[in-house]
Amino acid sequence: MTLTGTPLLILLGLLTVAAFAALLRFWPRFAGHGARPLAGRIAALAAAQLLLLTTALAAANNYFGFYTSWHALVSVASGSYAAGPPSPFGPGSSPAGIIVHGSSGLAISGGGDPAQGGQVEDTTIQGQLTGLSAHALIYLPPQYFQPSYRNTLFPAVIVSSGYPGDVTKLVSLLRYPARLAAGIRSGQDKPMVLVMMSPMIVPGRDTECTNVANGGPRAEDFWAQDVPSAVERTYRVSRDASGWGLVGDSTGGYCALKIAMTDSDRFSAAASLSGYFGALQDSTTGDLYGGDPGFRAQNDLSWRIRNLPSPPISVLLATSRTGESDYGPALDFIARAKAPMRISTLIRASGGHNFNTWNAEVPAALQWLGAHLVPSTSGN
Amino acid sequence: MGITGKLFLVSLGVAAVAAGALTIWLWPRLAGPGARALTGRLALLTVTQLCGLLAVAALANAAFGFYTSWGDLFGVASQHYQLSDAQGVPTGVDAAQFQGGPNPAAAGSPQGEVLTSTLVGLRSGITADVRVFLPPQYFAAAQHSYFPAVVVDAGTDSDATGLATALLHAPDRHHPAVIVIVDGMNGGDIPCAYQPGPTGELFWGQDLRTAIAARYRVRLDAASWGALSTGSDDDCAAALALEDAGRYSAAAVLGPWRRSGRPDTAADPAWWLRTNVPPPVRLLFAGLGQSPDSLLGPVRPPLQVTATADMTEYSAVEWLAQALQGGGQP
Repeated sequence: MTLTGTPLLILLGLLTVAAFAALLRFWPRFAGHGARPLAGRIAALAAAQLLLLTTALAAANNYFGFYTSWHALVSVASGSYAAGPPSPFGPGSSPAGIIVHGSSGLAISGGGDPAQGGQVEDTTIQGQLTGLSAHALIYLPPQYFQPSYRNTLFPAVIVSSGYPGDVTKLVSLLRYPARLAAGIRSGQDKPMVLVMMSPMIVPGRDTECTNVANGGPRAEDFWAQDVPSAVERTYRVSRDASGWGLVGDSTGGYCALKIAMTDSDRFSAAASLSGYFGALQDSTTGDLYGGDPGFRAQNDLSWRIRNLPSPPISVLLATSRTGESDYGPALDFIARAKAPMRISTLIRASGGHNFNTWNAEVPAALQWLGAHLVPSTSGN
Repeated sequence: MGITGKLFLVSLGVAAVAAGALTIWLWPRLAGPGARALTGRLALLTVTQLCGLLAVAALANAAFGFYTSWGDLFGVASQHYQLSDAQGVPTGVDAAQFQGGPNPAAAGSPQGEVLTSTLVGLRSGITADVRVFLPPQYFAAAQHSYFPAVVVDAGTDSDATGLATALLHAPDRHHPAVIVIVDGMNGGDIPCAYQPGPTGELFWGQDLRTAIAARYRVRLDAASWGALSTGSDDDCAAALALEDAGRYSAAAVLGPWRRSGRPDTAADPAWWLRTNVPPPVRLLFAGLGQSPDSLLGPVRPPLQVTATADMTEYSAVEWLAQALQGGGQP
């Protein structure tokens, strides 16, 4: 039984109701005096409460898509993640680095016709430099399928969920593709290719898009090099940094800004929605920096902006004056950034670290990316 | 009462504990038969469970900072924001890393051309003196054909003078390439890509390549880029290709290995190859004096390693140029 999906929810719901009913039915058995019936009451009450909480957690996990596999959940609960050097991709791998499993339209008017609603391709990206691979949903806009755009190279944007987070929620909850399609129709957005991924490319692990120390997974190289290379080989997208951007919320926002800063020869714009600036390390990340303060500092965006030249990228920082912990660090970042970096801001009076906030910001972020990305003009 | 306020959280916690205690205390009184007792159980149990659930949810929300106001939770808060849109990065910043030096389009001779200029790294902050050798074909070929680039890390090594002389005397090579000799910064070495700190990688991987590609007809693809180190830094080129294979696809190492790096770190190529998938890179060891396997461990494809007798830097440049792609029309 999978961690997300209706069967587990139904099972847990039934168990919760059954426990509740059993408690009512067998109530009198624990009604006596003395320590044993008392202990029985407490245990019965606690068990029913635990079942209810588990059901609520599973429902929240289902809705927000935090962890999508038991493997990921067990990994993060035990703090032991898949390790060891990756092996090269075997038979059945794709020379271009992208395996397309299927495609579907959007649930919008005209969504059945790719030339009207675009198309979401369900893919696995295989990183040829890092040996890592990830589930990616790739949205091709309607123009991609229209004859007059046959020779056009489109801007491309890597869209990242937060951690924990599932890539499918970028389509169903934050609705990046549907919002882009609507924006293109209304003339506010430019056609772009969206490459949607979760930072959880190692099951359960929050790699923070870092080349993990001591031979760990090279998540940064995967995001910064493997993904654009594979997408450029497979789709009609920009071959230049000027046409490549990143956007994400929370951990995804940190990743977007970090990768644009560390790899500005491949990306020229990043939108960070509630992204933080520090280099996190906790039980969900495991040891990322090998105890090396210098390496950790390199992954701290506040440190980078203080101690290194500001790279040639456009940045959109979205945060709230109250309710978000990244407001102060964002102001500090803006104050220390120097040319040629350019910073745009999206500031709300108040907001939290949640989907209401990001839902309100995604359309603005897409417009901003469309305005700042300039693809290379022609294909090879 | 704020959704993350102490008062709210403490009240919920107290309510949950009190409801649980009340249930346990009242339990015997509601144990009897009949509808009234059953209704009592139902009500008490429902209240207890809901209080427990809400308390846990509120604590988790406060701990992670998901919803910070009631309006936010119920989706009725103002979603108004102020957008301050800065302009984009000016175009041409990569080309502007070169300070001084003539424009290659201006002249061009059948003998090829050497352009000397200073490169101020946009991302690394490293300033380096750079000599760019354009082959005669660069001017003879169709206006828009592209060339591979070979980067020579000369460091403080004077051997590069010999290479420069050879390039000037025999510019008409069989495999034309743009040769970039990097002469170090202010007489000092530029950090290698594998050394701690980000600036070496930023310089070799990004600043130098974007500057050259913005000014000359060289593509940014790794397939167009190779590296050669001379003198005491002869391990830098190999490290660059192995560890930054997304930006360099070939490297040449001349003479015996003089690696000073510690084993089992990024400075040790055998360690790197043990802990990573083999990169799509071609390496040349000329006059190594030992088997490359003893240096690298087992070599697996797509990595290709060639070992030859000692050769001149000029020949190594030739070898790199033929190993690279990058020619042809855009």
